Amino acid sequence: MKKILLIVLTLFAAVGLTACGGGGDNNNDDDYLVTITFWNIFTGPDGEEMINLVNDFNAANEGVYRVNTQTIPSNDFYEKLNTVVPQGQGPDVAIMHLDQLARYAQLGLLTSFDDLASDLDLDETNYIEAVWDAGIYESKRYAVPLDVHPIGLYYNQDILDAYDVEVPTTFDELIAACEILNDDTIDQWCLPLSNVWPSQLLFQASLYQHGGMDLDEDGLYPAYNTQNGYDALNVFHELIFTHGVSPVNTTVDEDLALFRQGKAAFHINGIWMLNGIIDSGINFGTASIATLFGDTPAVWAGSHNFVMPRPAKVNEDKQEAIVAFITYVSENSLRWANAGQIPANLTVLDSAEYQALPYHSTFVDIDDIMFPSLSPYFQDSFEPIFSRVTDAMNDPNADIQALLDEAELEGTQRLNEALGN
Amino acid sequence: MKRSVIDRLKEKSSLLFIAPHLIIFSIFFIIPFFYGIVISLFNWHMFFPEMREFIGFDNYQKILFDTEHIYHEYFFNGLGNTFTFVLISVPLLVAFPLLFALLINIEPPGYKVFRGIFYLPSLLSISTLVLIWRWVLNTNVGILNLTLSEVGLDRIPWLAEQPFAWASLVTMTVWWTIGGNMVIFTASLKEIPQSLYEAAEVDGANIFQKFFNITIPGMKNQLLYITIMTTLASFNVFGQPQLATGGGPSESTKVLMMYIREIAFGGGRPNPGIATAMAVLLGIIMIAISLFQSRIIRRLG
Repeated sequence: MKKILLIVLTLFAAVGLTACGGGGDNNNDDDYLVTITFWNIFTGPDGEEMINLVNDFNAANEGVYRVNTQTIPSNDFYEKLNTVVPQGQGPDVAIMHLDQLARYAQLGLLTSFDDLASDLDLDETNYIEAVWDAGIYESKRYAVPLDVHPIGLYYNQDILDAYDVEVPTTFDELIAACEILNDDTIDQWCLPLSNVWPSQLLFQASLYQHGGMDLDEDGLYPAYNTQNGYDALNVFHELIFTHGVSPVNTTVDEDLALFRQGKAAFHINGIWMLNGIIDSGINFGTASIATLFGDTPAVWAGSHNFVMPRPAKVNEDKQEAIVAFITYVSENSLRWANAGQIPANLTVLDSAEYQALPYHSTFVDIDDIMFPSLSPYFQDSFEPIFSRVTDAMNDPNADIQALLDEAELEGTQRLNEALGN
Repeated sequence: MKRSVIDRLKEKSSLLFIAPHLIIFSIFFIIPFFYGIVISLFNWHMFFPEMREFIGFDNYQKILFDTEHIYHEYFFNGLGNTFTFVLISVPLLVAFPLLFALLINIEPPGYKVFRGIFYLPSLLSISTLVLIWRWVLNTNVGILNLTLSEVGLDRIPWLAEQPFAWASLVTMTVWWTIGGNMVIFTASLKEIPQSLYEAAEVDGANIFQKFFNITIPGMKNQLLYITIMTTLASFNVFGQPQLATGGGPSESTKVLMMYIREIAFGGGRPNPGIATAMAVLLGIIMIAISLFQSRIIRRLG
C-alpha cells in the first residue's frame, strides 16, 4: 500500500517538475542571440530548399540571428494560425497565400511592416508590381512577396513529335490537337483533368479569360454567375463529355500520374509541380495557358508571402531579425526558382541565370498573370463554386446554370453572414 | 468505535487512485463539454475576447428555424447525410461481426488464424484505411475497376457518384471495424451455457430456432451495448468521407461532423458559437436515440 502511494506521489512530482521545466528556455551562452520562429507551408520538394535557405541564413548569421523553422501542411496551417495567434503564441514570421492576406489583415491577426521600428530595406521597384501591391490592405503593407506561382501547360514532347502536333494556344487548337492525340488503342489521353484540385484554379483562369470576374467591383458579392461564368465552366464540362479529352471521374493527382507515366499529351498544373515532372524523366516542355480557354489573355496565379502574425508583445530585436531573414531569402530567391517557383524579385527574374532556366520563361508571360480579387471576403463568396466545378466535370448531365445559381446563392448567404447582415 | 488513523488515510488514498483518470477526464472531457455549451450561447469571436457577446439561444434559432440562413442549410444537409450513413452502416456493423462470430464459434480448422485476420484492419489508422481503399476504388486505376474491365464490365465511379459513394464508405467502415464487435460477440457466445442448446436439440429445434430463442436472448446485454456504441460511433463519422470523398459528389456525403469542423476552425470564417451549437444539437439527438434503442432492446429481451 505504502509503496504504491509512494510511486503515485513520485509520478505526480515528476509530472509537476517537467511541466515547470518547460517554462524557461533562456540560453545563457548566447545572450545576444535573437531567435525567431518561422512557419512555412512547403511540404513538397520546395520545402527542402526552404530549409536549406534557412540553414544557410543561420550559418551566415551565427551568434546573431537564428531562425527555427517548422513545416506545416497548408490545410492545417491556417487552422493552427487561427488558434495560436489570438493567444499570442504564433510564430514570429510565416508564409501566407496571397488570397488569404486581406482576410487576415482585416481580422487583425497580422502586424504591418509599416509599423516596424527599423525600415524594411526592400525596394519596391525590385518586385513584380502586381504582387507587390497585393501585400497592401487599407494602405498598409502586411506582406512581402516571395514568389509568384501560376498554372501552366506541360506537354509531352515525344507524343507531340510522334503525331506532328504543335502546342495549342487556343481552345480550338486544343480540340483539334486532342482529336489526333486521344488514342484508345494505346491508352493515351490528350488532357486528363482532375475534377478536384486543381480544377478550381483552371476555372478561375477560364473565368478571367472569358472576361468574367470572381467578385464584384467592391470585392463583396459573387460575380461569376454570368454568361462569362457559364462559358467558363461549360468549357470543362464539354472538354470531358463532348470532346472526351480526359478519362471521367479523374481525381487529384491521377491527371499528374498519367502525364508522368507518358500516357497523357498535356497536363495543366502549377509551376510548383515542375520538379515532380522533371523527376519522372519524360521529355517535356512548358507553355502558357493564357488564351487556352477564352480570348482575354489571363493566367491564374497565386503567391507566397512573408507575414508577421500579431505577437503578444512587440520585440524590436526580433523584428530586426525578421527583416534580415526576409531580405536574405528574397535576394537568394534564384534558388527558390530552382525549387519550382517564380521569384517575385525582378533582379532575380532579369538575371542571366534565371533566363537560362529551361522551363520557367516559357511557362507564363508575367504580364498575363491574374490574381484573385484581393478581398477579405474572397473565400466567403468564391469558395462555394469549387464543389460545383467538380460537379460540372463529374456529371455528364450536369446543369451548368443550376450549379452557378447554387454557388452564387451559397456565396451570397455566406457573405451576408460574414458582413453580419 | 474510533477509527484508526490508518483507516482514514486508506479512505483518502482512494482519491489518489482515481486522481490521474479524473484529472485527464476533466481536462479532456468535462471542462470542454461544459465550455462547449457555454460557447454555443455566444457570438464567439475567435480572435478578440472583448468582441464576444452573449446571445442566448440565437445560434440555435439560426440553425434550426432560420431557413434563409446558410448555417440552417449546412446543418440539415450534414445531419441528413449523417443519418443516411447511420441507417445504412449500423445494421451491417452489427450483423457482419455477429455472423463472423457465429462462424468462428463453430471453431472450424484454422479459426484462430481467421479471427486474427478479421481483427487486423481494426489496428489501422483511419488515414491508412482510406488510402488502401482509395487505391482499390479509384475509378481509372483502382484494382476493383481494372478487374471489372478485365471481365468486360463498365468501370464504376466508386467514390464520385451515388449510390456507389455511400456503398464504398460503408464497405470500408465495415471492413475496418468488424474486429472489435466480433471479439465481444465471440466472448459472449462462449458465455451461453451449452446445455441450453443440447436441451433444444433434444426438443428438435432447428438452427434458426436455436439462434433466435437461445443465442440472441443469451447475449442481450452485449447486443445492446454494441448497438448503442456502434450507433454513437456512426453518428460521429468523419474520417472516411473527409478523406475518401471529400464530401462529394455534390456534398452528398458531407456529414455533419465535417461541417462542424469546418465552421469551428475552417479557413473561411471560424464561428465556434455556431459550430458548438450544432455539436450540442447532434449530442442531444445521439442521447435521445440511444435511450430509445435501449428501451426497444430491453423490451425485446
